[in-house]
Amino acid sequence: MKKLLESKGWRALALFLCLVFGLMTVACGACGLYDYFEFGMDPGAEPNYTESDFYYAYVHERPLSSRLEDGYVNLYMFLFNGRMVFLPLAGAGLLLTLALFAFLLASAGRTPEGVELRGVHRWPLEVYAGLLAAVFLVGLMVLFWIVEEIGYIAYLGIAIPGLAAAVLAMGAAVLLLCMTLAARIRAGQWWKNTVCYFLLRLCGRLLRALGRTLIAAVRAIPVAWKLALVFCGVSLINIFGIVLMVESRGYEGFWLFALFLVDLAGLAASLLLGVQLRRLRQAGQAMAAGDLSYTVDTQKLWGELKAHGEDLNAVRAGLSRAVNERMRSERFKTELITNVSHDLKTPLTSIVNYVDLLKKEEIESPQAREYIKVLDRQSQRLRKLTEDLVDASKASSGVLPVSLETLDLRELVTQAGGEYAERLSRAGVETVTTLPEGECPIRADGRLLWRVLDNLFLNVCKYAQSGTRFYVNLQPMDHGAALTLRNISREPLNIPAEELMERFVRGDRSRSGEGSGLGLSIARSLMECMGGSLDLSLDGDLFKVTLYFPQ
Amino acid sequence: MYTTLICDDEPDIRSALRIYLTGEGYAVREASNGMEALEILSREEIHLVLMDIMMPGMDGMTATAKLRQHSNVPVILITAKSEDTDKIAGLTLGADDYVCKPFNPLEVLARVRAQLRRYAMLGGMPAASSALRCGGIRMDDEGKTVTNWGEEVSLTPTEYDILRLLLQHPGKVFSSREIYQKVWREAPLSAEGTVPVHIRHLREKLEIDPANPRYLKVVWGKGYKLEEDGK
Repeated sequence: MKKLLESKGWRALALFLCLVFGLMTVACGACGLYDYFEFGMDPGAEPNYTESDFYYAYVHERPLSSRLEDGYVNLYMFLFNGRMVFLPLAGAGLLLTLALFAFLLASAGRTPEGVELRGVHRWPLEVYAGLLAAVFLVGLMVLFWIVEEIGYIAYLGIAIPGLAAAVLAMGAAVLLLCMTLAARIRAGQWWKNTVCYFLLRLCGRLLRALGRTLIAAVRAIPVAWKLALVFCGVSLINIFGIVLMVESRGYEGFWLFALFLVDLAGLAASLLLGVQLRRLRQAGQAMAAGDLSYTVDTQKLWGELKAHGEDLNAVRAGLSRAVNERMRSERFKTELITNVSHDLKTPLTSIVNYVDLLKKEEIESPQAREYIKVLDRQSQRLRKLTEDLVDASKASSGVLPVSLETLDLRELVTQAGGEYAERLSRAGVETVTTLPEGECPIRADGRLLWRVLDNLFLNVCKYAQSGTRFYVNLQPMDHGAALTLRNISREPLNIPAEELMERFVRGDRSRSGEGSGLGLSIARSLMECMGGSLDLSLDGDLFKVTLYFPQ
Repeated sequence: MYTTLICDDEPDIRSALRIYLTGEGYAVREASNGMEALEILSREEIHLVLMDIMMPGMDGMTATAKLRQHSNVPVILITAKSEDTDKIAGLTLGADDYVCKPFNPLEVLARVRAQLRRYAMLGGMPAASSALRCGGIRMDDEGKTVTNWGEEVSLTPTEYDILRLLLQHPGKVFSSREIYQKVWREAPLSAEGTVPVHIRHLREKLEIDPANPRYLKVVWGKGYKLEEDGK
């Protein structure tokens, strides 16, 4: 069935048959109806040619030649003889025609490749329909002319084919129109192939282009001019309103009220603008404060403000992209340093162990013993260096997990003092500690903070002048606390404080002795990880470190 | 005589450890990865395993977990990573102790000794009614003696009192001030600065590596507590 519907040949055959059967239906119907009124459906009726209306109309009143009369007699007898057959034949023809019509409607627009519009179906609907309507009208005119003038036609042999042709043309026009409509509706876009649609779309495009040009023109005006224009517009409306109010006698109250409404709308618009400005300012402040997750909701902003909001969002996106990029590269660096230092640890373990074994050997040469001592010292230094390197890179890149909790800084300073009590007195340094009476709560990570103090106290042991005092001063503040450590350096500190904080820089410059030169840098990074800070100041030989803690 | 098994992929580290361990009088077997170690363990009687974590073939973590299925031989992990998560993972998988590369050979020997003592006296010591213990630390309050893995430790009376306070409340954190009040039985009046010094001495007497204590721990900014690592 599907194949049948999609086949072009079958469709053409059905079209032809439909027209033929349609013509037959019309012809038989016309004859049958004439018979029905002329003879009734009576099998026993007698032909009475000279008394028929037919004869009256076409023969009696008109002086015609006998030959023509013969033709009418033949026609009359044909109609009389078939009086029992025409109506059933018409009925059958009608049924067949309708069936074929339905088939044609179902088949219109179908192809083996699916529903597709081809040939005439692609013509603009109005053009095609107009053409068919013209055919139909011509057919109708021919029909009327023949029916009207049939008596004057010399030959019935011409009149009857003429009538048939007219009816066929009309039928074909109606049928083709129905088919093209069916096909177009089936394809789901009957309106698209129309002249109207094309024109409407053209108009739409023109209007849109015009609108765009206008908007672009308005956009190109600087903000100040825009504001001036708006102000002029409002003033004009006001002046116009006042003129109207003065001119309209008896309606002053109404116009005054209308003016009031207009100005009220202006006030509302200004207030809304103010709110939007405020929103933009909040976003700017948040970004300035470093909140890179703050986005401006530009949905509720107007014109220039919206554009500004979008710019702000773009700035934010760019910034956070840059920050992320940086974080990634820092993390990568830290990972690299960590991996390298892990790989260094294995050979270092062997070195440390075999140097230790060498120390236990009975070696005669005093020089060899001296060399082993150097090896021992340097391998220990290397060991400290690899550990500090990992710490420093982790602390400065912020990948270190920090768990802040409330601690008692007083307790921590006491603990650190206890840890270092003996080492400090061995270094010949007297510790003077000043602590507040009560607890001193701060927010910090205890283990990280211990590493900060560990590094700083160790520095004192290593670099303080023997016989001097080491002052530890804990001062609670409004929001947090400050811890100050002061000592006198053994070596002259003739470098700026900032440089001393750099990685690998040490006060003595000779780079001999133990230590990696990372201690202060690690301490400062760790303090920053916890939200605190580390200040360093050098005054002659006075070395002073101040730690600030948030509460 | 005890037999120890060294499992490390680095031949130089293996032979250095062998020198130290044989010098202490232990017999030594060597394995270069986890598979070999498990094979030796199934063949011979081993009293202690020194296990590197990063090895080709089977790594130390997997090997430790496997051997724990049928053996309670002490395992000391050797790790190049000093991250806490690795230590905790190792201890949870069944290791008894760990040392970090680059290690101090004396520390390794001390840990080996401690673990072997524990292994040898497992179940052997009668539980005195008044004994307080945490890990290898035992305190007999009647005899006023303290032993660490079976070795007697001599403490000053103040150190003894502090240790008893901490042993009585394992896992609880005491601030210096609280310890001073409870041990000296008087108001601190800024004198609690001596407490950390005593604690430091205690750590030096009880811990193999006092800077990284396994039992007597410093809770920085809060106080001190006694607790077994990884428990």
